[in-house]
Amino acid sequence: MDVIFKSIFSTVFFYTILRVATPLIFVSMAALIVRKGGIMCIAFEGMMLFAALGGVIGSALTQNLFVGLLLGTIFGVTIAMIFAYFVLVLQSNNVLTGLALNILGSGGTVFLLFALTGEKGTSSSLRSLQVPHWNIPIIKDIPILGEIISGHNLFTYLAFLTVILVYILVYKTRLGLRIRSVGENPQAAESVGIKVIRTKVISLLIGGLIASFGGMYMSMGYLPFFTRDMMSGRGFIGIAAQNLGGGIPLNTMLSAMLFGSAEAVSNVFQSLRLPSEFVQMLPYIVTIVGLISIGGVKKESKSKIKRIKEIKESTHE
Amino acid sequence: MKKLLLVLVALVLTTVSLTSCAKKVEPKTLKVVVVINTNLGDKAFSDLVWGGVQKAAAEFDFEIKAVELGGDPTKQEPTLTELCDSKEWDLIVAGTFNLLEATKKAAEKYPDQKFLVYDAAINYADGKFKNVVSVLSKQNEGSYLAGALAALLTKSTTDPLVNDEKIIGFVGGGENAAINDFLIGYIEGAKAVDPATKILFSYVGNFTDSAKAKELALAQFQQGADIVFAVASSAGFGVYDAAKTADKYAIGVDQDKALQFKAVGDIVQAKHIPTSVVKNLDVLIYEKLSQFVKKTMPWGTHEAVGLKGNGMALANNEYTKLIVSADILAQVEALKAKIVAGTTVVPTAIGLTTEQIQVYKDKAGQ
Repeated sequence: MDVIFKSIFSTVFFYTILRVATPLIFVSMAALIVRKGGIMCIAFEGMMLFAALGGVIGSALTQNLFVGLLLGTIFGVTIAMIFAYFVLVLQSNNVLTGLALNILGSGGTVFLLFALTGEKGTSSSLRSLQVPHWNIPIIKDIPILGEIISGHNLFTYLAFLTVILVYILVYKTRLGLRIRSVGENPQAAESVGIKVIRTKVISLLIGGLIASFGGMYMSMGYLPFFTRDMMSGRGFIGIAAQNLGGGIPLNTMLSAMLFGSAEAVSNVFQSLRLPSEFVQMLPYIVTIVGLISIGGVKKESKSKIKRIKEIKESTHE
Repeated sequence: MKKLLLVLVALVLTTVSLTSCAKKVEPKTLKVVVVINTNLGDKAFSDLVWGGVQKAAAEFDFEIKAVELGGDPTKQEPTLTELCDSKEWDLIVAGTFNLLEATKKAAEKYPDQKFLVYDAAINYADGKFKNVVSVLSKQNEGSYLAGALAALLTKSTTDPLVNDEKIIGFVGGGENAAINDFLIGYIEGAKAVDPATKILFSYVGNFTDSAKAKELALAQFQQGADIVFAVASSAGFGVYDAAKTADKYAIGVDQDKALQFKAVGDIVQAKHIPTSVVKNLDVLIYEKLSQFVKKTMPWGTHEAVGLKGNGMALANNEYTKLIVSADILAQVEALKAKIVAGTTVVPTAIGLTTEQIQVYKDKAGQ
């Protein structure tokens, strides 16, 4: 028991949560933007894998971090645009298209890696670059807080910045208003002259961009190399976080962090000789319980609205 | 509809007969197919097997092909059935415990098809499987030495990377017989040199999530471990990176990881890997294939090769000498001599029930 407390109530543990949650925050924000545009997209896993490999290839070949980031972004956004073309223009089924792109991500990245390096497992033979860590000047000297908040990878700070930017974009800009209106009622939006498909494509473009950063964090921040299938379901957990957060940026971020904490707890608990099968379930149990409770709340609020309407109607009569 | 079916059947029959005719004309070279349960390119287990097959093929001049299943269990039986049905292959090489059940089924169904099974054990007692030969490298023995080395290294008072606590770690890919065999050997080896050593162990749950493997290793370092043994295929790269990040040690698996990192120029990483448990599976497979070519293959038998016979080894490279003191190496060498001589018998997880394995796991934390 003593070890459990020592491991969990430590600054390192909270630092770990931020590190584990970073890719989830990115994906959940990508999912949020796309969802606001009224698109159900599950292709984030594929976008992230391609972005992760693109970043590694770009930075390894040019030894320039920005070229790496640029190439990674291009790779990830390309997948998002393929999704947009198939689903929005050719009207294909979105779930099947998403699934296909995820499989393409899994196989295609290995194919590219093999073509470039002759290896199929990892990119460790490529001398790719890593995004640096940042010790925040004054904050790093504050006792507990500094140890938790300072010294993270720049991507982690970017993830939190993204949450703010997404909030501003969705609720404070004209583009955000258009994305929301297209998502909520495309006919009404079209009737006032908004180009529905173009707006949806833009929301996918932004989503792809954010997801790409999540992918590049995995291969250029979290780890210094690409390994096959390294996303291991993080793209889907991000979608779950978006649902749990009810499409509100702050809540979505908190949900992503909740999943990150569950993952971090399970990592610590495993070596404390709890059955590994049980501990590995933990993040997924949290996800399911979260989604069920959200479902319950929604149902309740719907029935409340119905009751209010009934009362109103009866008073009118 | 019936007509269409008829035409189709006729077409299939003619192509089959045509192709089979065509084959008879070709000069007869042996054809060997290797079924890899995961994928090639893991720089570990699968590549090792394929390397042994390639070497044998170059020497004895036979045709080879690799089929990769990508870790998809639903592909196992159909692939094997298809390979058997084609009657094209003189020998099917298939291995690991994950592929064992499907291989056994195929071997039973196609008694004329020859199989070479690696890294798994088959029970030949009831006279079945006369068409199979199995070979296994005793990972528990190599792992035993790694455990001993880790337990000795964590007691070091001179190494700045080592803390006072006698704790060592282990990160496995998934929980299966082979991984647990590694774990039990590791625990036993550590306990043999110092019963007070504590062993932390976790499983990633798959062999691809390198980020999770890194987190697990970091959590173990955080709980006081100085050295973590990574047995997780490509996910294991996360553990090596964790050792580099936390400035601790990691033990490699299957191939000499330190030399691999050195070869790609990552010296810093190599300096955090004092040793690797090397599985000389390539040598074993090469030997079996040469027996097959010379028609001396002992069908229906199982062979387990450990430290004796060089089926397993503990890597001893320039980084080992740099990190591990000569005194520790001498102690490990003495343990090895005992195993080779047969005075020490390392317990194995293969064939044990979950409860029996749990007994060993319970020892780890005490």
